[in-house]
Formats: sequence, structure tokens, C-alpha cells
Amino acid sequence: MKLQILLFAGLRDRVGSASIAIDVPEPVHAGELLRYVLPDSTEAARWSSCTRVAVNHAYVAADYAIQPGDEVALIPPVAGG
Amino acid sequence: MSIDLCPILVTTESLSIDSAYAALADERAGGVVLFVGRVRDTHQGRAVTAIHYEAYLPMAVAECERLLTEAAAQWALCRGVLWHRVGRLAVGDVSVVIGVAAAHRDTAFPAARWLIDTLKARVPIWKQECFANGSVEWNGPPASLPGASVSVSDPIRPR
Repeated sequence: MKLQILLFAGLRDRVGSASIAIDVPEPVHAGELLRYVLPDSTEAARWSSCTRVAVNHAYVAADYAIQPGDEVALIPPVAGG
Repeated sequence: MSIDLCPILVTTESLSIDSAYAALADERAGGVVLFVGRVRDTHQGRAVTAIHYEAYLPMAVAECERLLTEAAAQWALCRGVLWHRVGRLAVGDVSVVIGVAAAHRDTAFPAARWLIDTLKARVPIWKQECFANGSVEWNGPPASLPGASVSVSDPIRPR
């Protein structure tokens, strides 16, 4: 399944793009996405400790199975206010 | 008590406290709490000249709507506003306005406090501090969050 992942703030700067296209085997779960975005496992683990996944504008749990057509975003630590 | 939610704003335009207060007008409400967040001139002891705020706009609006709905389920609110500015803000600029109108202060204060605290934890808005020495830093990169409490497998739930 081809996915387009939206990236923001520090994670976007790290990857160097506001979105990244990845090709993943199905099914793929929300908690697995970072490893495709950041191939270095140590770095992926560091980010995953503080990054949430949003699908269609709402947070999802790690075991959510991504569906074709989902709008998927990785949400690094937020800091509004 | 029914709640009349005013539109959520996530905007590059400057935020008007007068407009927020006007949006909270409600004859049932004897107590109005407004929280105004502004850009501070220091961050962890370093001089700040500006903050760049970025939002995942459609989700920020959706999450703010969920926050107001959850607050209305927890407290008897008459009205609420949740406004956030994005883009480059100078020191002293208003970045966020949270307001609630309720029959009594015992309701209005905790609801407003919960809204600003929960906004900071959940709404996808980020800030990049611009320091006087010319450096810029995202607030909350992983390197500064050893043992961060939020993980992918544990999305923050409504209280």
C-alpha cells in the first residue's frame, strides 16, 4: 500500500519534507509507521517515544490498521499556548 | 444547560480579546474567565525575540472542537472560545485566547484551566523559539524529552 505521511515541526525538518511517500506491506499499523519514515532504528525509537499518529484529523492508537485513503500524520510533541 | 459554542479560530490574524469577550456574552452566565497567552521574552533563561507557531490546521480545529465538547460534558458551560494564532509572533503578541462563560465562577475557572492545559497537550500546534543570538529551536524535540510520557501506543485520552 502506498501512503503519504504528513510531517510537522522538528520531525519535518529532520526528514526535510512536509510529507513523505512510503510503500508498506499490508496491514500496517499506526505504531509501525515511524520505522518506515526513519530507517535508523535508534532514531526511530527516540522519536516514537514522543510522537503520536493522527488519522483523518484524530489521534489513533498504535494498533490502528491504516486504511487506503486515510490521511495520516505524525505528530511530534505539541507546544501550543 | 445547553452550550452555544463559538467558532474555533486558528488563524494568522491577530487575536482580539474584546471579540473573544463579546463572543462569550450570555445572559445565563454570571462568570466569565478569559485566559490570554502571550509571547514571553525568555525561554529557559535565553532571550527570545519571536516565536514561530505552526499548526496542522484541519486537525487543530477538529481537536479544539473536541476539547470544547469534552469540557461542555464535564462542566455546565454557557459558551466557550478557543482561539490560537499561528505564524511569526513578536514578544508580547497574543498567541492564545481561552474563554468560558458559565453561571458561576466555580465552574468557569476549572473549565478554563482544563481547556488551556489540554490544548497544550493535545492540539497539533508547534512553536519554534527564535533566540536573540539568531538560533531557532523547536520546542520539545525528542532530544530534550528523555523518557517522554507520551508514546505512540498510548495516545492521550480525554480525562
